Amino acid sequence: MAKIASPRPTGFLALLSVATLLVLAALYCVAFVARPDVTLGIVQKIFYFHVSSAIAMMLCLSCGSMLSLIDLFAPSDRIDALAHSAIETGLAFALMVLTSGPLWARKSWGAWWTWEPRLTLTLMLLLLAAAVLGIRSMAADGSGRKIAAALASLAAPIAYLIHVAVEKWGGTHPMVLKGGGIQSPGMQLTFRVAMLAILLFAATLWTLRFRVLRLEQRLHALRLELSAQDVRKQRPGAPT
Amino acid sequence: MLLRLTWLLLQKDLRVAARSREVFGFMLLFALLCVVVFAFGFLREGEAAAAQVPGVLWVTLLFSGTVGLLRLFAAEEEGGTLMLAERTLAGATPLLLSKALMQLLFSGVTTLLLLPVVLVFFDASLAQPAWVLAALALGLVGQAMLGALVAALLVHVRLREVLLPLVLYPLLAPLVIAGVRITVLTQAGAPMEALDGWLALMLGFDALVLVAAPWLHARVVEL
Amino acid sequence: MRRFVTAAAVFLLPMLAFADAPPEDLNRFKEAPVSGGLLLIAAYFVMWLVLAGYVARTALKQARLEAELRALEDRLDGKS
Repeated sequence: MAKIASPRPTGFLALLSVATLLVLAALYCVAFVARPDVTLGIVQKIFYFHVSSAIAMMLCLSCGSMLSLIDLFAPSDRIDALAHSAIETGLAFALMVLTSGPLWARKSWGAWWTWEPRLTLTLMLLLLAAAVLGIRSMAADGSGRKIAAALASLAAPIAYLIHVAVEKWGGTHPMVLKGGGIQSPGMQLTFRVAMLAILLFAATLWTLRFRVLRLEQRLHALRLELSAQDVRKQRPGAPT
Repeated sequence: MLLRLTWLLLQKDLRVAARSREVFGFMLLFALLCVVVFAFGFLREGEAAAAQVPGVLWVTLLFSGTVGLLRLFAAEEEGGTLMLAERTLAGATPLLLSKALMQLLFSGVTTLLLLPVVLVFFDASLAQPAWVLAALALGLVGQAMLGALVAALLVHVRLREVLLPLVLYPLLAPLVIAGVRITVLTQAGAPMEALDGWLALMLGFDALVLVAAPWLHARVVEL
Repeated sequence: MRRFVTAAAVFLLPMLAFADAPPEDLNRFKEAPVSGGLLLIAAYFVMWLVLAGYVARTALKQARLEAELRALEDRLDGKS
């Protein structure tokens, strides 16, 4: 019988080390290359990782939703694991965005939280992702996967409608600083490095979670095979 | 075929509901209770009560709708006929449509009874009733269809009473925001053009849900 | 009779506390301005904490699964 343990993860280790190095480089840039913002002060340095995390979150969640839709069309364990891990990673980044955001807002807007469109949308995305994952874990094996896939694929177009709704609801907030205001080349460089670092890090986390999910699936298959063997041993004449 | 089966299933549900009126009665009572609790929460001496009407109205409908949705598939589940109803000649869609219509009927009647109560309790009047009623209709259609889908998907899931609102409320956010805004705008006497965008948003939501829900339901149930 | 008086006292005495309570002053809870540097440090700390938590959770899950997988494989090999 073939060995089932996972193959040597050389590609994954390479990805992990590159991502780690880039994150360290980005932290160095944030601390020493980028000068503090003239008007916003030192707190503006949250921007570099905050915005990149938000973009990573959007990418993960939209990938998760699209993969869920594909899984409904052509069910496969691999696609399912990819979708599930994407949504989980997206949830982790949503948490990062929603914890760093208020800390920045407290200084520059004077309040921990405002119902500014992008904040509201991020919060709604977090709630939706959490609900989808919760249902997946509560439902029985086969059905939870399909239910979660259906809800996740419906969540993407509805998230767009939420986006439209909160944009209209929020109106024109004068305090929104579009893009955070990058002025100097040092800040631009820092932002690019941080963005690349976070995106690679997100890819690493996604891969890691994906591998664990595949492992879970293989384990499940193995258990099924084992119980089938037991049945065959008990009834030698039974058709295989 | 599809419509005929839907109609037959709806007739069956209506007959069952007519015999035991509990669910509808409880839904209505729950809605009334919500309004009272909101009054405790939001009303303060010396502040105009009418300003709270849009929020109270829409959130009450959101909450009381959940009561109906949680019991929507109770008969099939208890009678063990869910699989049977899902595998009609026209697929699972008639079941979903009949349940959505049932929910729409319940929530529609609740709304019509609730609206005057809210207006009396909060000392308010509707400035442009036609537009508010249109928004309520659009909102209830979307809630019924999406709610029926989520209820159908969660029938066999553990803790579904907790999970249903957890997944339904964020998905319904566009409808709630748009509905409240339309009601607020009409109360403030805004011109019709100000409502257009919000009504279009609600229409878009309903169109999306009416197309997507039966498809997703069939995908999950029939495989 | 004495019991009644005690009970009445227990219920009524606390009410004296509300007799001339000053009106609530909500403004005294207003926060003082905060330092941006502190917020910056807090933000980075929390972000990495979230990520580390996620990685730790996944790694733990993986370790447990690997162990379980190995045990099962051994069982399968022993049988066939």
